Amino acid sequence: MLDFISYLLNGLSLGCIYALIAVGYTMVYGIIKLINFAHGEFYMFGAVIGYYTLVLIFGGSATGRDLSFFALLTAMLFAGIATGILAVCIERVVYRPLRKAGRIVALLAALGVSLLMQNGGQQTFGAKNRPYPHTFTSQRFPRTHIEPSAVIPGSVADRDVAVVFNIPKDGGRLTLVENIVQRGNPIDAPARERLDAIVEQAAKDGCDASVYSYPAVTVTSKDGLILCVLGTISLLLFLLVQHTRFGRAMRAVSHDFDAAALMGIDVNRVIAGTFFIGAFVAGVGGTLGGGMYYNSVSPLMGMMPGLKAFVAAVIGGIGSIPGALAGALMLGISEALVSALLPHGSLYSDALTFSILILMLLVRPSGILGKPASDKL
Amino acid sequence: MKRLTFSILPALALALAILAGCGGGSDTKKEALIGANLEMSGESAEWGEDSKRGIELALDEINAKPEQKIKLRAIFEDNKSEAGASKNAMKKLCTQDGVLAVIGAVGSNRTLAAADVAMEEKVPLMTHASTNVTITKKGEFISRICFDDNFQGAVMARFARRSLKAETVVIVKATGNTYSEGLCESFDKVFTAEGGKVLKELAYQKGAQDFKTLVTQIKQENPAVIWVPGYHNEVALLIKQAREGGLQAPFLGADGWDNPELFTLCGPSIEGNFLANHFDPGDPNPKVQEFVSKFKARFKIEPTAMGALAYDAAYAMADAVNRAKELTPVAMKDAINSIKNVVGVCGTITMTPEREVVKDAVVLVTEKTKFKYKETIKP
Repeated sequence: MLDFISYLLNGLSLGCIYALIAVGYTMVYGIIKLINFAHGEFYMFGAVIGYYTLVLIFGGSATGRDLSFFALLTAMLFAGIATGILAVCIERVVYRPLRKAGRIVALLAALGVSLLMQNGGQQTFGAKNRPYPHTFTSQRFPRTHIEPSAVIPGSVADRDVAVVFNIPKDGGRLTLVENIVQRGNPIDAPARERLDAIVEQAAKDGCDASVYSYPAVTVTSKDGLILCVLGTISLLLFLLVQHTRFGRAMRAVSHDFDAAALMGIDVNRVIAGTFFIGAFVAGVGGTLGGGMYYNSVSPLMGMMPGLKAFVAAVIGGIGSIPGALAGALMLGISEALVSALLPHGSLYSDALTFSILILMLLVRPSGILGKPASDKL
Repeated sequence: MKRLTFSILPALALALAILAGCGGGSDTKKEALIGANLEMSGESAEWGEDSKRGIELALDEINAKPEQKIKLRAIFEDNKSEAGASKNAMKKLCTQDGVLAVIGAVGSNRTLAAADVAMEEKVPLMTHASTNVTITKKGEFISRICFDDNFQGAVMARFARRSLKAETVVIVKATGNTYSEGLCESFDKVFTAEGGKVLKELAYQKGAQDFKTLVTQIKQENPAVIWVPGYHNEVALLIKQAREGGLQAPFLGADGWDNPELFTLCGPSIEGNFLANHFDPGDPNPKVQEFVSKFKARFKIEPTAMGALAYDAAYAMADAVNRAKELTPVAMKDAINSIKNVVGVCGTITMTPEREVVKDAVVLVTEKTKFKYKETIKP
């Protein structure tokens, strides 16, 4: 049961990353009925911008010191803004001239943009996986502070025990977590010696060291951060769409493009704005998901998450923002559960994703929260 | 007049060419072309690059020797870390470039693909680093100068049982990776035969990034050690996420971990895991130290085992070139298959009738930023 909750939480954090991409997919589709296959590449682009922000402005490196929360926030903002601007440019140069040319033409153009960005990225950034600069050390919560003397050699640990400590590094500090003993295992003398050595060294360096014990189910601070960012973005999007003039214009354009134009809404501005917002979220997602969470960045990193997010958007009902969120979280959770509960299940997780897509298209093509398709295709 | 010039010129050129050819014949300095089918781009690019460095360094040393009558020249082809591209690269080397023999590739599936072409074209293929057992079974044109997965898996299984006293293991396989699958099989066999217990066999897909579910599953089994003979890029992320999730048991792996990126991708949590390897750059043997210092001086980085093995492969090739009855691929095959006592930096190369070599393996332990020697395990 406890493991089941762990799997659910793993799936939730995976789903959050898909959600950050799926939101943009669904918004763009909602407004101009374009499936922007280059959206996964916006995620990649965001990760790359975040990478350079952290390296060039804050002097981060994969093996370096902890960076401030401000650095991570700046990297996310820069990544979001740069990706947004790129998306607006692409919309202006590629999609706007093709808007009257039909949906298939625009779809093919989107595939072209996607390939251009993947291969252009390999030319300029290099094809290799690069490690992301270290920002902060992931820690587990909830946890209980205990005294080192409570770790008694010879007894059996009923909770995981770890020591969290700092070491001086590159003129700053680097936080490390050293696991001392795992739940259900006997505490041996070397474990206790290791613990004492760390506490002693930290005191010598003038750094902190604390010993914690953890329950069976924990959430890491990285998971927490992703969840918070997704929550904040969802709330802001809700406010934007439902309670601002721009949001009302978006809804109007989405409802009826021509009528909205006739009512004096600047349709081009609304579309550009939508591209910007969708790409902004994907860019933030790239820095958080690709970079900070999985610790690597490469020009092809947007491909698979992009496809998954597309599936999530379709499951949720493409065109609906709450639908994309629900679809993405559902997809993440089902992937984690299949990986965990079937023998060799991780091999089926991708197959599962696309089976769900096919099933959904057969049974309920408009998605969970989508409006039934009444428009002519 | 014009017409005459045009007919004379080719004739003149031909005559010159013949003269030049004769000159080459009388002058004993002949050239032997050696192909190298390597991963210069794609997921294993680091290893391909390092192999290239090893071959370049070795050939320059060999050609600088006054007693080396036949100069060796290498032609490098990129197989993009893909089996299909490896076939094409091999084909090009054999048919267009007309090489005498080929070194490569690093990854087992790339070498297996190239081996088919080698057998068809009757050009010898010597792999310096692919450890999958089936490779040399392809036929007499295929040889290997490193130990295979049966040995590598057995080494780590014995190390886990005897040195770490591990009773239980969880095996994690990278599906879609021939190398990882072969190693899981051989480890399983020996670990069980030595009295250990395999609690569970898990798998991840090549290219995976999210290992948290896998970590929870491993934690549930609570094994003494975890055997994960994958490639460094995935293993680094797995270990990082495992330590973040509170999983404490050491991970054991093989030469697929040997890459400086293991440390940058994983960060400090890489400390305290073990791998089998062909070569230890910290080995005090003067031959090894000379190689490491030359390599560092020229390329400004420390060699990986791939670079060291490729260096040895080039020396083995030179030995075969010097003993070959004539400079043809078929004669090269006979010369390669009878290589004896070529002393390299990763041990001595003597071909067995199965076109394999018998070598020791070293077990290395990962520290925060580098590998450190742990022990040597003999066959």
